[in-house]
Amino acid sequence: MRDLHEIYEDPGFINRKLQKTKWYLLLVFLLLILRLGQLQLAMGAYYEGLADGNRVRLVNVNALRGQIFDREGRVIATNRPAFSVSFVYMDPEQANQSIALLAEILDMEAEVIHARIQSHWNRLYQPVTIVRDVGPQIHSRLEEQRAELPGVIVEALPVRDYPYGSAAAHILGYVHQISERQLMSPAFFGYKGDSTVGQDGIESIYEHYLAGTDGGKQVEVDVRGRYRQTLGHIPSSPGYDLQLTLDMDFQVEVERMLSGHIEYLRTRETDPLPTVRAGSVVVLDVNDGSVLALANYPSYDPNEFASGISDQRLAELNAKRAFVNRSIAGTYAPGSIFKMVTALAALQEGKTTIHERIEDKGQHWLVPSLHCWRAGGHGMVDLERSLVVSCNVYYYEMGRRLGLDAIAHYGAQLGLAGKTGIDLPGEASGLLPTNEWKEQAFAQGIVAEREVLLAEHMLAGMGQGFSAFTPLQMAVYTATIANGGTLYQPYLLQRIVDGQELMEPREPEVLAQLEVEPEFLEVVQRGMLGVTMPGGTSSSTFAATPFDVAGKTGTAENPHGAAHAWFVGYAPYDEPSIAVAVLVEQGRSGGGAAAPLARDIMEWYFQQR
Amino acid sequence: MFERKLLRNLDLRILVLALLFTLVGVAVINSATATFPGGSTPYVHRQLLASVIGVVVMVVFAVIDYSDFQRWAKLFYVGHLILLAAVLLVGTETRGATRWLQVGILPIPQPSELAKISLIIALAAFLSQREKTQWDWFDITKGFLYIIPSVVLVLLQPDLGTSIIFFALAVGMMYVAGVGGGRLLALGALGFGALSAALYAHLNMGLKIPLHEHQVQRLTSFLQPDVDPLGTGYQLIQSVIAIGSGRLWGKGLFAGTQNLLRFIPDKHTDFIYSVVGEELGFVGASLLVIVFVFFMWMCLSIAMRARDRYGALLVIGVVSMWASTFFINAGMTVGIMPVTGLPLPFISYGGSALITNFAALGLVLNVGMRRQKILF
Repeated sequence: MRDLHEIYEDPGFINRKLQKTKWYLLLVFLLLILRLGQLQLAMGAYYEGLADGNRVRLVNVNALRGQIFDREGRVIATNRPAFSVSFVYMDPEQANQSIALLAEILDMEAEVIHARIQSHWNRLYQPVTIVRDVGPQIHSRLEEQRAELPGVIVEALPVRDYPYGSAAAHILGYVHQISERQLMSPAFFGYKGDSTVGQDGIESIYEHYLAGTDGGKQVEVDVRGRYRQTLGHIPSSPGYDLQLTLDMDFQVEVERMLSGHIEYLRTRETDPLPTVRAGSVVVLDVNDGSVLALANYPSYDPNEFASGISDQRLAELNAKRAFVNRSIAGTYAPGSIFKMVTALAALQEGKTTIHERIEDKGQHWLVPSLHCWRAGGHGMVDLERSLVVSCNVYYYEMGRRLGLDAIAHYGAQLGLAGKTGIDLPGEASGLLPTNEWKEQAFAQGIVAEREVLLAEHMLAGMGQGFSAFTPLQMAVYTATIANGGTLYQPYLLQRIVDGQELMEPREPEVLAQLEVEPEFLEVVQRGMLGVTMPGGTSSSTFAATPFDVAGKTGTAENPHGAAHAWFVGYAPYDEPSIAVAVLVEQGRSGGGAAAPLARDIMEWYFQQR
Repeated sequence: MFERKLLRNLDLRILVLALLFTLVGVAVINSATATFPGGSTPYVHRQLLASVIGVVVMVVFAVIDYSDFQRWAKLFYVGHLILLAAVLLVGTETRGATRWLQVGILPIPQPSELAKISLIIALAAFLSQREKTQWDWFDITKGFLYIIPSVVLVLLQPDLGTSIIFFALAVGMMYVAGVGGGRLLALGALGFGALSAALYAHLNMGLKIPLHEHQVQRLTSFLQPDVDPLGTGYQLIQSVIAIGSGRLWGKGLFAGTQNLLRFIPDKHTDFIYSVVGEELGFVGASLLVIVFVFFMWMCLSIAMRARDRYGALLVIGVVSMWASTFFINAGMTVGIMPVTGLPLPFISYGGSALITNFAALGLVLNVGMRRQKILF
């Protein structure tokens, strides 16, 4: 009641305010009516012209996708002029008539076209791309029957072109229509349902550099959908060009040699290896980590995607696992090519000396089931010789003395403790086992016991057991040994090019510095040199090579079939410039199946460059 | 509790006007949805059903003596905050914003709509506690602090439009409660200035602001629709073309080419005024504005005869809500207000908003029936 009493003291106050409010309302809404008058009375005729009989249509102006060059400036991905067929829905009658005829000309199911248009229901009355890159016959048929095809538009719409065909396919990736999932993700905000985006490799990882910004035109068309005038226009801005570290001639040559070599191994007269179906090569510049060539077999031709690919062909390529970039996504036990890690760890940790000699009688004295590859063994072996002859018993012993964690400590400094961070999508991290890893693996039920067994420490010493790495990791590790211990991040993007302007090239990134005495590293390098010299495991392969090569062969046991063949190496020995890792799946012997390919690659490179 | 003689005070004129708006809405919805895949029938049926439910709710809100609402004010306040928080936690998402609650198969009306009514009821009680007619800055601050939790919760959905309405109804109520017009104008200018500066800094200097990219685009595209003619600018351009092409008399219901060709986005909900403008012309569109202003004018007259301060504040809260929603929505379709996604009161398709507006109407009728008996 107190409330009421006080309010009645000044009943006029609220009413005065309410009365003012009424007038304010009138004033504000007068604005609205004035605006209506402006639009409908003053400018009504103009808007009527736009709306009635005429139509305003939005036309997307696609940005030109950036080109990709190799380190010498050769064009490896570009755009080629092409025609695409689009359709504008106006009414059901028009759609049915046009689509029936269009389906016949394009040799497509009418339902497929209907579905495509349905999926753009929210952007009705705007052109929807039906097919890209139609041939000249279809183009001329469409032109001839234009009168019977209302709503069908033939647009000049460039498609992606890879002048080198299938070369570097796994690096470049391909472009394809945006997927439903991509469309939903925030990374593709602003993309439209018929946008073409990079789907793998460089095309995907640098999509936002390459794509540019689409523009748009607001055009006025007449009742028949013919162009009248442009009302508004936003120019598109083309994407940036990219320059890669690849040496494209070398890349082509490496791919040719890889596929030729695999074909040779499969079909040679003596001892053919019919299970050899895949392989991988990585070549790095040891002084900055840049990728000179990265090849996989089998591969595919990204041009097939630019204008659409059939499901059948896609299934065929998938069955061959042609899309797998083995160099970065495939992990394999390293076998003997891992021995340099163990050697460096054992020397630096004081578990052995340069001069200590261990007797190899063909098997380890504690675990006799662990054999050397050579029956009867190598006799007395010191560290350098252990690499030259690839003595297993020596490394079982070092594995026993070091244990997983000490080996992993040095493995990490050589780039083996996870992804290298190369600028490609889908890199695998490999596995450098540690005690902690085994505990976690046990918790997840991957392994049967929590503790690391003695034999597992010993196997890790020679690169068997749990260890698994990508060919790229093996190349990075070899390059680090070659350059004296600097671990560079491998990379492909040299620089971004904005129109004619070259931007600053990328600085090599140092990830780690190997903490090992220089004399220890030197001994290991000498051991690798010995591999290609008389008495080494691939001496015959390199007998005629005109420069000195440091290398290591590896034959890694493969539970799914014949052993994988490895070779890693660098050259020239005195002043290293390139490091090579070669993997031949099920090649049986590193010295026999992988080393000759590495030699051919190195010889070609030093002859030509 | 309810005396029959109260009915003698029932202001039938505003009830009739509200029903008229609803019928005009149904007619325009019928035209706007005629080209939809399922035809207009389901939309018309649902809107009619919602209006029947709305009238029932209105009766409830009119019959209970509004002083009871005053006593329950705290309950309304806490209740609507809980509801808004619940939407964020367990709400269903449509088109990127979480605005619905679902219980079994029954969706509860949009909580942000219920929140408007609750906030009016609670804020009116809060403001009527202060009998002073001169408010200092401290009082003003307290008034705004009272609505901040609700504003933050709807902004998180994100529902920019409703948060603006919260501010608008608070401003209207505080003005009548005693805050000087000059101070509110200064605050408004300050807020507008701060928002503009933040948007400018965001767009030109990359300042981080708590708005989604699409909200920023909507807020700015009405100034320069050409900047984004492919996105929100397109909707605005099409809406302006539709309204402009209606000219003096309009093209008639079911005859709007922009409407029938589906050039207008969301034309049965947010952009229904574009269809009104195109099909009913300047005469229809401005008549609608004039009648709506008349309607609100009569509501304010009820407020002036209210038996107490609380009743007057309830009515001004409701009128502020309608006025701001109407102006922002219609202003958006003619390109003088940003796109915020608010429905046109009583006209737009949408059950929650319609029912809420009838509930609000119930409050106004309530105050009108129980007006003071002594006339000055």
